[in-house]
Amino acid sequence: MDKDFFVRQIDAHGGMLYRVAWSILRNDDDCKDALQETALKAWQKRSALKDERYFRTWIVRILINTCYDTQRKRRRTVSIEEIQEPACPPPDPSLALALEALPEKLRLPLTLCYSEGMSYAEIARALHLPQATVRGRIHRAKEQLRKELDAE
Amino acid sequence: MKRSMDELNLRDAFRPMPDACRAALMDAARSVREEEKMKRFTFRTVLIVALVLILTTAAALASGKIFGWTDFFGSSYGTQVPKAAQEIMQHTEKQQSETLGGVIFTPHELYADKHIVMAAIEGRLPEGEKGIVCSEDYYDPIYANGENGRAVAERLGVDPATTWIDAARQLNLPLYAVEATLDVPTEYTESEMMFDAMYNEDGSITYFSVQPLNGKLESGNLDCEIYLFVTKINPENADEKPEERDRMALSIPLATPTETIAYDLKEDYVSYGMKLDSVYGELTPAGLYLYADFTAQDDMTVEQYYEKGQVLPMWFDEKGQYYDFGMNGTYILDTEDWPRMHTMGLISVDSIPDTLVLALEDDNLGGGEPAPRITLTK
Repeated sequence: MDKDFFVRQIDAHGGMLYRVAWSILRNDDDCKDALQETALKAWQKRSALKDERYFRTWIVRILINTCYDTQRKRRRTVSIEEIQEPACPPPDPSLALALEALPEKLRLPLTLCYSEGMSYAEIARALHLPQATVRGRIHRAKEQLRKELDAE
Repeated sequence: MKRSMDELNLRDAFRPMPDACRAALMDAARSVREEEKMKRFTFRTVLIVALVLILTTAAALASGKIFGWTDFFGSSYGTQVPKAAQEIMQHTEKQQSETLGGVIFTPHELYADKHIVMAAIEGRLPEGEKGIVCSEDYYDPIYANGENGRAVAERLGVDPATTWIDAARQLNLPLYAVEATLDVPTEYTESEMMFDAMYNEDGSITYFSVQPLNGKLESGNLDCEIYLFVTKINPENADEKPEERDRMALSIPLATPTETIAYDLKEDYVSYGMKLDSVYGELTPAGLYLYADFTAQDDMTVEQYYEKGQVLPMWFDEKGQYYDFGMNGTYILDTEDWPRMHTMGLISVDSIPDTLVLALEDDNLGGGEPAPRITLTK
């Protein structure tokens, strides 16, 4: 993988990377750090990507690990008050609230599937989970999201 | 107003990427240099395979026995845990328990040395309490856990294709989804923590966690935590009680080497363009950690080396039998000092063998052309 290809791919997938990072971290400062670190780590580990067609799944996996590291460093001590209010609201604020209410283990596969269009197989690779588990989590996520939206 | 799932565009739940985030990402991407060397290249596939295999093996245990590491490696992986490690694990059998969300968690079989920390953590309901304890994937069919899952289904008297939540509904029992995994300070870790769960005959669950360590801590105690998580689910309506989370402090003494050996190389050895410089061994309760250093020949670049495949030092006994893979399940290839390459692997032995045979070869050859071998004697 040469640098041009790498920069083009990062540029093309920037929005997706941000949404995935936000799904886990819910804090723009942390997202910024995680995105920066992900780009640097990915370049260092580029020889591990055997087939460039899998760039998206591969970089999502690196990002998720980086986000978990960030979370661990924070030691889960961030209170609700400390989570920053986004500068501008998302296009569908009630959907955003409903999505926020889901536990991360459900929110992340749902986001990868319905926001990013990844297949169950790709999500399974990115999350290191069996496909059956991915399917189950997405099913539960949809059920819970529906409940959250109905409760509004 | 109720909204149908089909009307939703999930992307609308996210605002556009803030400029500061995009700038940070793109600045980092543009800052990389073509000639930048990889920091460290590690292969950890074998342990991952072992953790997958665990779900497909019967691993039938004597009645009343709880799954432990020895069962895990023996039945799922064919690796014998060295006796010294087994003894250390047996000594840690009775750790203090903690109750969270109605589930009693007990760590047992703890082991740590400078390269690895592992724990088995059992989760069970109090005596007389009725319910089903499962991992957090309770919408999975029970058979997703292979033979272990089928044994659970048989014990519960449900079809193996039933999901955990449906089994709880059918039996009208509360369902406890749990997780119990090691959490080690990142300053000591190398790579990701890996974990998986198995179900015991008595209805309890055992979580296995393995965390590779970076070697910075060589002796004393490793202070870490067990991350605990419980959600109680009402089988009637699948309502989850709020998740309960806690952390349990653990201090695990690090096993240190009991014997070391520096092998005398009596002949030159070159394979895949790499010349063997030295071989050093450290016997620990987990087995023999082997450090083999190589130097690239003929100006070979690190990229050219990796293009050759997954070329690793393989260890054999004097009869050419492959040594059992060590319980850390990890090989390390460190190419930071290229053209020098440092490698580390663990073989599962109780003592330093009189003779060792080394071959630097492609792990993925699958019966292809064998690499040359070198015999090393004590």
